[in-house]
Amino acid sequence: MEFLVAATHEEVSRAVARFGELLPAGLQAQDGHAVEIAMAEILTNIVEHGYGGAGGPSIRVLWHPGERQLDVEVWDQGRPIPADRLSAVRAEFDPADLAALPESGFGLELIRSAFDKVEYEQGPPYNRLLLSKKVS
Amino acid sequence: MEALEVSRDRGVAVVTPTMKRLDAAAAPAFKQAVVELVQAGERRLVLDLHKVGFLDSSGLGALVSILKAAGSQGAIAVCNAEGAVLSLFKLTRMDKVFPILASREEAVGRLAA
Repeated sequence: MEFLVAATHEEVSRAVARFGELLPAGLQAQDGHAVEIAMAEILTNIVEHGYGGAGGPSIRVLWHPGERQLDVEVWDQGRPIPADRLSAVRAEFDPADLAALPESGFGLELIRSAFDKVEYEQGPPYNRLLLSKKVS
Repeated sequence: MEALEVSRDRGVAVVTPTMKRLDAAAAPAFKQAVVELVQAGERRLVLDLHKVGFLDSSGLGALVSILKAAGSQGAIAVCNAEGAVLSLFKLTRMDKVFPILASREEAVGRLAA
C-alpha cells in the first residue's frame, strides 16, 4: 500500500491512525502500540525538523503488513536526520529532578525500539527510512 | 472544540482531555489550556485520560510541561491510561515520573490525602 501524507500535523495524525488500523493481525498489541507511536514520531519529525514546520512536499509511505513481517518505507525531501542523532543513546533522566525532565527527544529512541530493523539513506533528493518488524 | 473538560473533586482539579489522539496536532492547544489553569492557581491536578486512545511524544511533552508549570509545590496524577497511552509512559520511563492510577477515584484520593 502506498500513502502520500501532506506535511502537516493534522494529516500526520490521520495517517498514523490509519496505520494503527492496518497493523498485521498477528502483531501483539504492545508491539502494535509501539509501531503506531513510532510512525507518529517519524512523520512528526519530518514535519517539524525535516521541513522546519513550514510545510513541504508530501511524505510517501509504503506500508506492507505481511503475515510474518511488517515492512515500511518512508520517503521525504526535507533536511536529513543528523547522523549523530541516529546513533544517540537512550535519554537518561532523574525522575525526581523536576526542572531537568525532558519534554522532547524521545522520538528516535521510540523508533529504534519499535522496529527490528531501522536503516536510513539520506538525500538529496530523497531521504529514505527502511523499517521492519517481525510478527511473532 | 474545547481541548479539555474540568471538574473539581475534594479540592483537586480533574482535567479530562477530550481528543481521541493527544499528538502533535492536538498537544499545543491542550498544553496551553492546562498551563493557564495552573497559572490561575490549580496546582493539584488529576489528568483523566479515558477519552485519549493514543499519545505520542509531543503529547507526553505537553504533560511534562504541565508538571513543571505546577512546580515542586504542585502535584499531578494520571488515571485511566490504557493501551497505546500506557505503552508510551512505559517506553519513555515517564511512568516513574507520573503516578498512574487505575481510576479517577484513586487518583483524586491520592492528591486529596
